[in-house]
Amino acid sequence: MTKDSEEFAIRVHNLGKRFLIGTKKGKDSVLNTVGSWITGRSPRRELWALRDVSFDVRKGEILGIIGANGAGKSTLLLLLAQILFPTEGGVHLSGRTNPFFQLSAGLQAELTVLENFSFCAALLGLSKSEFNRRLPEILAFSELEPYLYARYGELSTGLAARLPFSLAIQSEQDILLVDEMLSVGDQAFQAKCIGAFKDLLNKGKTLIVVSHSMSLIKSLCATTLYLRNGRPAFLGNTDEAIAELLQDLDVNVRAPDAAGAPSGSAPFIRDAQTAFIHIIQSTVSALEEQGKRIDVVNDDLRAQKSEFAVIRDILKEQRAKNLAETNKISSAIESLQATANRFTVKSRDMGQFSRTDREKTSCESANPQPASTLEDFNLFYAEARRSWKSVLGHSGPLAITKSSTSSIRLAISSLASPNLKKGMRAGDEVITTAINFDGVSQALKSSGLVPAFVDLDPITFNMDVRQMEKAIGEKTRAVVLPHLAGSCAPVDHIAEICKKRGLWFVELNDAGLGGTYDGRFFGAFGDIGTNGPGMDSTTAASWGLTMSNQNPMESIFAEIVRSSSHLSERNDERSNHYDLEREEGLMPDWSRIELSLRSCRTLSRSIADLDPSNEAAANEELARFLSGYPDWFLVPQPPKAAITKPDYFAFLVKDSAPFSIEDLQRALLFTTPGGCLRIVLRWLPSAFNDDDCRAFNDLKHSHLLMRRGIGIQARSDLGDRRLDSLEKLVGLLKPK
Amino acid sequence: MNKQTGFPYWYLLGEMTRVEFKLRDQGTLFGFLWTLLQPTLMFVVLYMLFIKWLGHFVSQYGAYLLIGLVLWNFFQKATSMGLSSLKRRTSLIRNYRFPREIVVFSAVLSVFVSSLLEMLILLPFLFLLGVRPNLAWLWIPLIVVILLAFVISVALFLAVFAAEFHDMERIWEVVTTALFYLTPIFYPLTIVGGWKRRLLSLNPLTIIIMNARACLIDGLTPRPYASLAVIFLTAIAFAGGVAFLRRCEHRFADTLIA
Repeated sequence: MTKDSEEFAIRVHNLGKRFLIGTKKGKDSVLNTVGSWITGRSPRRELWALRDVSFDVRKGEILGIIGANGAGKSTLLLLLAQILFPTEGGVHLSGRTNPFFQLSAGLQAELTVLENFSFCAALLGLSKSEFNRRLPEILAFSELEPYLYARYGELSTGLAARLPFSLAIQSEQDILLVDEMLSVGDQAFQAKCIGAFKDLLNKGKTLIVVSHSMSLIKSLCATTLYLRNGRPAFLGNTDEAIAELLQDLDVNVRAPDAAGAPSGSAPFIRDAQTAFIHIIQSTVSALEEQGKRIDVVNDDLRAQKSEFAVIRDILKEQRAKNLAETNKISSAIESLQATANRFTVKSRDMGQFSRTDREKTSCESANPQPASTLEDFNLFYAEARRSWKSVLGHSGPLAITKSSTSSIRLAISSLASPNLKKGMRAGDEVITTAINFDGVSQALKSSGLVPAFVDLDPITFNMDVRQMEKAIGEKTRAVVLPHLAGSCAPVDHIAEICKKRGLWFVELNDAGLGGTYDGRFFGAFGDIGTNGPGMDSTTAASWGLTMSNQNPMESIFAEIVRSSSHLSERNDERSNHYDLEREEGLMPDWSRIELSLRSCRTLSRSIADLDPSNEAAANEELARFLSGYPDWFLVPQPPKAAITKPDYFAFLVKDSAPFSIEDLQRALLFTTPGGCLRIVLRWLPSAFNDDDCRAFNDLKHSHLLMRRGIGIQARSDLGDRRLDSLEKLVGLLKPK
Repeated sequence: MNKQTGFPYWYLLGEMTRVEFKLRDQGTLFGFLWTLLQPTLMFVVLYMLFIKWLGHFVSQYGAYLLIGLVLWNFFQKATSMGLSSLKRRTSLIRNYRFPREIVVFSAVLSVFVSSLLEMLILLPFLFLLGVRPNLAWLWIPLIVVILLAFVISVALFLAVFAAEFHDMERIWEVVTTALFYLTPIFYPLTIVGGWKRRLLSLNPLTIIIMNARACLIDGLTPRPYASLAVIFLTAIAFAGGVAFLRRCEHRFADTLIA
């Protein structure tokens, strides 16, 4: 054994190397790895770069390695250098080794030649003292002494190549692994290298040379290993190895026209020169043949090219069409808005129009203006409804109304329409909450419906589902569910109960357009749903949406909206303070449709960008702050499936708080407009006589929300100040 | 095979560190000044933001913040340099046979050298901020060595993962961002209460930074039990890191070279 290990520099036994290759790019990420654990699939396949290789090299011997590209030559060297590790079999080396493949790998262009020498020497495993001792020899060999303090990047390619060669040759490796190293450097230096190799061999060093240059292999090596597709094809005499290689090349060249020339008749080649001539001859004839074929193919290609041009034109046309299609909605919105501006300026009742819009209009007034006919308006109205439907993903009937309150009125009165099958009649009962939106009482009254009030859930501060279910009586025909206090009830659950019990379900989402429950927009759960811009509903310039998933509603909506404009004259004497809309009817004017379209666009953009609003973040911050004082404040919590987008932030001040609700309001009003929830919400029972409504119990939590609920307008830019003033207030009141 | 005693790669380690350092800052004064800019700016911003508030909790908030930032900066830069080191040095790994951990060591050390220079420059500022030399400063070298060893251990693991997974850099960016806020760099631990405080104190970095501040500002000796725990942990992590890297060498050699 000891004799063996002294005799052999390299012993390779049954060596094999397998790589795992990713089948697609970007394979090695943590995410993908975790993914493949879960799916149990591996996105890799195996590739044996080398297999069943065995050989021994004695000390002082030189082994050549030849083979086509990708035959595993470099892999073998990397394995010998112990940079890669074998999958099977083994490599035993005796002595110090270091490969040099890309000789410039460790070199830094910015550093000087000396620094590079020093760095490379360290990489080759030399110690500082060894390097200092060898430096003169290295410099003598490289002939680089005059350039010692030049930056390495400034050397010419030929000179630069000398640096690592010299180091490698002078660094006293026991085994040298050389990969195509003589492709650079001038003739004289190459000769010097070959001389140096021979010296090293004489000193008992071992060399492994990988090269494509047959002449170099022939001149240096007695023994050569020929690798073919990762397997050893021949090991032995260099001339025979080269002959094998050439024969393989020969077969490869002949393969395309094997039918023409019998490959079995290939002469047995002893002499490499004959082989070369043979290869060249057969290559030339093969090429001529191929040239003819290429001409034919070229003609084909030319014909195909013109066909492609036609197809390309067709595709282009289609693409343009598609583009037009996809842009249709947004461009429609824009153009219609522009028309709207002109129209509104022209029309006499442009009272609520904002100044910026008017300015815009005056800028555009140079353009020819389209006639503002009723036809125009109808077109605009229809287009706006279509935009809303596409953004909300709603396929049923949808009406744009004059305001949120109008939309509520439309929703309730359409259910009481005589034209609706199973519609409600006067005296029918509707379950709803005592706290409700402006306009609900009026809508119920005008249809003669009787409200039955149920209390709120103390967590969501929205309709208590259990009470609601208990409250369903003989006369009950519908549930009207308003989303209150920036929170909501379990809408899906309520919708289910209504369906089961055969009740109409009306969903009023007038604060929080764009909020979703379980991925669906609020307003889409009810048989009829309303949506509106929220707190702005108190201002004159506003709008509302009424949508339904019942197709018959399409005509009923149209009926009611059309007839509402005539109601005003008839009902003048009955009007009270709720009847602001009644005088004007439900039909929105041009400017309000336009306002709604603006929201529509904002909404569609925020859906596309998946942009969490600043308001939501500001609200969260407030909620966090308030939850720090659980004895004083209570923030309504919507069910987990809900993502509410209220435009105000609501919370309750508990009775145990050491300050009055007025204190808090003053503190908040000091910095921001807004205030008590009473601004948007009404106490519904007060609008009815005791005989005209039914309260299910004492409505404890409803009273609580009405009495002690605070709503702050959610404006992200004011978010900090809201928090500030709350903090200040809490700080002031804390000592009590 | 000729066995060499000890660690025969000091020369390589030194050379590689030097090359890394020179190349990163281009070896120029200006390059170095640029690296000073970031901690200085952070200091100014955080100081102005928090002196009113956190100044109530910490007596010498300026010095407190500066020490925290410099040490954090070292941790953050060194781990991210260490993380990418094996990947950056693929060509060296492909062409030379040497212990791979040296690549990671030198990446961290090169950052360490520039951090030391930073500290030297910032020392006069500490004096301006009211810090006076005291005997407890003798502990500083030990603390620095512990920090260095800790950072290297972290970098060893990161480098191996980064060689295997290309999204490691992103992940670590996110983690360090979170760590910045989870380590008392610009706030004192005292403002956090209860179990959160106990949780944050488990971070070795927290203990190292707090020890450094205790020595530098207050002239106190490091807290013995916590420090011993950190030393123990760091030693384990360091040995584990080297072992892990060597164990994984086969794997990442394939991924890097193939």
